[in-house]
Amino acid sequence: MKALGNDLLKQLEDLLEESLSPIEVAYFESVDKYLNLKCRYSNITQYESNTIYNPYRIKPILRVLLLKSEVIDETSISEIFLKDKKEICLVLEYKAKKSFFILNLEDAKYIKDMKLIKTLEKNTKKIKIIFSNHLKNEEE
Amino acid sequence: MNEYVFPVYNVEHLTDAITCAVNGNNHKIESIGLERLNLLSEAPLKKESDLNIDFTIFTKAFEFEGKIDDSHYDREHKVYTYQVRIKFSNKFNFLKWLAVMKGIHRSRFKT
Repeated sequence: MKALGNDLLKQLEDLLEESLSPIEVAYFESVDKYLNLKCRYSNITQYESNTIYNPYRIKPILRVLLLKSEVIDETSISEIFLKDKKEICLVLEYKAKKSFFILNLEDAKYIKDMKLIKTLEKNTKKIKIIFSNHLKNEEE
Repeated sequence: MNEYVFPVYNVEHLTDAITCAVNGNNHKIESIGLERLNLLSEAPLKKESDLNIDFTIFTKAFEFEGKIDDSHYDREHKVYTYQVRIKFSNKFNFLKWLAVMKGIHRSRFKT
């Protein structure tokens, strides 16, 4: 099981051109229409694999959902999450089923020039495939 | 934009804890979410107009602006249901509303 996890992290590190190493990530999937989110993978301390979280509890996910909903303006959202810049969230899938990728940016080398963000956005599909394959292998 | 991001929670059992006035007139509330209210009305509301909503839940008071996204008329009960999209212009008001949503969600799912 650990080897599979290491393989997943290696693939993500390679994809992000080793701008983060060791990489800290988490992957969540919605389990119902109430947006309860199951953590399917995490090596970030505060998220536990196979635990279900409510959508208001995971700050990086809440932040992207608020931006999507436009319930409050972007400046206010930035102010609300001013102290929560350590992790970013990338939406991998947004259909009936939703999936989110969280990346800990605390030790990112290239965050200032936005290179990492651009690489993440460019590789959304690949990241989704990496997690799908990882979860499939784990189930087998 | 008719798609909602956040879940909606039925609050019909909380009638005693909720009051809602839209442009000064009281309405019953069917369900609430972070970005919407579903309210009931015996008289039709003007779809295009901006709604000023005064809302209280468990003694917490809110003021927000709303726009009607959708409506439905129940002929049997002679009542209109309006789906109202709400927006916040005040961060602190919003954070208080967010806390209410967290509380309702936790009371239903324990997550």
